[in-house]
Amino acid sequence: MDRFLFRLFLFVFLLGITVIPINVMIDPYNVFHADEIRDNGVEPNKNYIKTKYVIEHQDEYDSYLFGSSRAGFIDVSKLPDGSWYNLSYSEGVPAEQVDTLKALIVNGEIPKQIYLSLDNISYLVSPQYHEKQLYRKAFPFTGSLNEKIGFFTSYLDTITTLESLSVIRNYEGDTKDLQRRMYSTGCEDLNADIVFDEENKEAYWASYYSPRVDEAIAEIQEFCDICTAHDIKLTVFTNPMYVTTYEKSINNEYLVFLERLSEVTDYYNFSGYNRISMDDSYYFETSHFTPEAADIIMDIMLNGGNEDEIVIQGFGAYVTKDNAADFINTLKFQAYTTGALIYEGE
Amino acid sequence: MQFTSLAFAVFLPLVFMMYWAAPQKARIPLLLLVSYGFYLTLSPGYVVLLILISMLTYLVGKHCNQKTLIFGIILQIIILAFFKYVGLLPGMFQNIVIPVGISFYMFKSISYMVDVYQKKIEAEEKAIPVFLYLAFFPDLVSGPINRAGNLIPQLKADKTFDESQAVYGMRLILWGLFQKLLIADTLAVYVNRVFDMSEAFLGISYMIAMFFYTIEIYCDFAGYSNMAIGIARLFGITSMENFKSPYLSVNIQDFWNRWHISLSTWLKDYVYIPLGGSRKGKIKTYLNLLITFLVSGIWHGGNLTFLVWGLLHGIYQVIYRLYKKCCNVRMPKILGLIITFLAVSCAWVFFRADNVMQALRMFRYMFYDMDLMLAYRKFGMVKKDLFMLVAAIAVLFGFDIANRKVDVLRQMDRLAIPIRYTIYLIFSIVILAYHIHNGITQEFIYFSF
Repeated sequence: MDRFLFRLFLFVFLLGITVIPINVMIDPYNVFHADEIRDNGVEPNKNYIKTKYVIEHQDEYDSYLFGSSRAGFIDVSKLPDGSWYNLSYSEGVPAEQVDTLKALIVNGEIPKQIYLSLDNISYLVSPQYHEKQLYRKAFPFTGSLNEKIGFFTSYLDTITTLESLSVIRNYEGDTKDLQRRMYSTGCEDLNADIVFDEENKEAYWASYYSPRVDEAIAEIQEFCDICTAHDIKLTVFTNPMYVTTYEKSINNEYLVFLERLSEVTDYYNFSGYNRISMDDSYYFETSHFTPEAADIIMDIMLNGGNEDEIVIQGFGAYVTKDNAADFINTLKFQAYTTGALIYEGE
Repeated sequence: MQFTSLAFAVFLPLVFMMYWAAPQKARIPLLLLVSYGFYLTLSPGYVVLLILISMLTYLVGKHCNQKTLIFGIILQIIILAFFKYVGLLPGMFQNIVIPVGISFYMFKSISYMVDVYQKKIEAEEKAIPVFLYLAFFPDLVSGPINRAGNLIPQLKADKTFDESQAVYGMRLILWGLFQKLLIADTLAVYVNRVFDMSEAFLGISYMIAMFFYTIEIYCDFAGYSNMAIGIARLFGITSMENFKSPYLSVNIQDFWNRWHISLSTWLKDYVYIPLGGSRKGKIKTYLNLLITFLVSGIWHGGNLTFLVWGLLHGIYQVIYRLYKKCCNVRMPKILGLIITFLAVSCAWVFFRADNVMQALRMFRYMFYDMDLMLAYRKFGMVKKDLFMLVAAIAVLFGFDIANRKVDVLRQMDRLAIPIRYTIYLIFSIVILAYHIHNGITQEFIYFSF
């Protein structure tokens, strides 16, 4: 029996040293290096890293911006009345944002205020699609041993680790800058030198996009309910989507989403045909808007917008249950005028 | 708690160490307690039913006569039928969950009662061995359907730790994991894609899905069985073999001597032979075969597809018997192998389909579009998965071919230790790598029977 047990433990040890070190050392998604993230050319799991960081530095932050990577260029250091952190990450969706908020609360961090940024991704992407994507797996928020083991075990994916080497070997990153941003505001590189490609104005669209308005609204409702229950000041806004992406979205239930959104929360709207969405200089490509565009929308939310723009374009409109119908009609009218939507009579 | 779960990887070593550290007298109650604990994690609401059936089995065995035997069998058939088929009724009945393993432990119970009645075995004086016979956790959920005459003496026997048994058990577990996690779970992704959205596919996609499922169900079920048998070996118990290279069968009769052996022998001993077997003339023999395979179909569930599957196999058996009687021409083995494989594969389509119409539609359009490249793209299979699958299936069939002549796992004792450990490591690393990479653990197919 002793010999059998010895051989078994030896085998498990050999298996462990074959599998674990290589995955932990290379760690393409920086999960094992969450406290010393490296810029290696692979999209890190910012959902996990950022949530872990703020939980471990609760004294430094009391206010948060939630959203997809589009909200990543919003400079939260400019936001008043709080110590802000940008919790946005690639394709962040409401269901995951609910989990992140719960993770914060369960770990003792109750935010003072939250900005929640929404757009077409919020209702077009199913969270189940992300479950197996290593760069999007959620912070294991209940903290149960089983959940933690399952989370970290999924990163012992030797096949993906070895495949990532071809990217890592040929990439020269700026680790210092990435660490500076991740461990201060959580924002993307606000000085990114990316020029909009005039040759490529096609809508930013993924093959797996599929409207799930009911589910998304229920998830946003849950997010709002948690904020209400914990007395968290919540401000919801819709992102200024680039015009071609917006046009494709309104042909895929985006206006339905906006109307339903008004039933669960008031929000500021920046979607539609407006001075940001129709100006290429405010975009890196047809998905992400620039820090300059972000400054404009933040300024409007904090200091008020232009009356004409609000009425004619819905740009900066504060949408509530009471004015939602008029607001949607404004956007519809715009879309009929441009031909993005075909008028089929009321 | 499935065999492939992390929780089981912690549970098994603990139970193993407790078992061998415990005094002989404490081992049966310990295993029984552990088995109930294991069952609680799977089917918490039905532990009481398992205990009640165990009590019924013990009491019928103690006071065994024709009346108590018939009562015991009919009562269990009624309970089994209720859980299997009540879901077909509308309304609240559809929410009733089948107790995990019920088909398996009830068949064990019936075999114990009949064997006692037929005086093949003595009735147990004490209840605990009977309780443990039914609840023994390695085979509780999906078999093998061990016979009491084989299992109970082993459970009761005083045992010392046998390293060669334990090592053999570990090899079986590793082989079972290879079949289940690497082959079955990977194939399941593509099979499910076709069967769950069958109207989005046509032609050769159906054919590929049929062959994929043929291999999937073998690797899933045989993988589970090998793990169950391997785990039993860790406790010094030799379970009955359940699969013997079934897809190398040269005729359908041979196939059923190699596929789910514990069920096919159970059906032979407790259905086919009591009906008269082959002793009452040709027509009665064929009828008995059809009934036996219909029972096999019904055992799997209330869906008409299982009935059709069972009936098909009954018909295959009849055709084979007629062929043996009428044709003096000896079929080349390779032709027999191909025909048997194709016949079995076709029957699996009914087994897997949601309904008979879906299966028939798949056969109707199977040759409609033979564009292999289009099918490959529609499957969404990536090249490395394809290469891995081809390699793994080649290893599978290589193993099965070799295993017909020698016990391959036993023969590993002849290899030098470094070579053995290298083989174990390579298998384990590949299994772990693909299992984590695919991030998929499919429930065992026979879990739901």
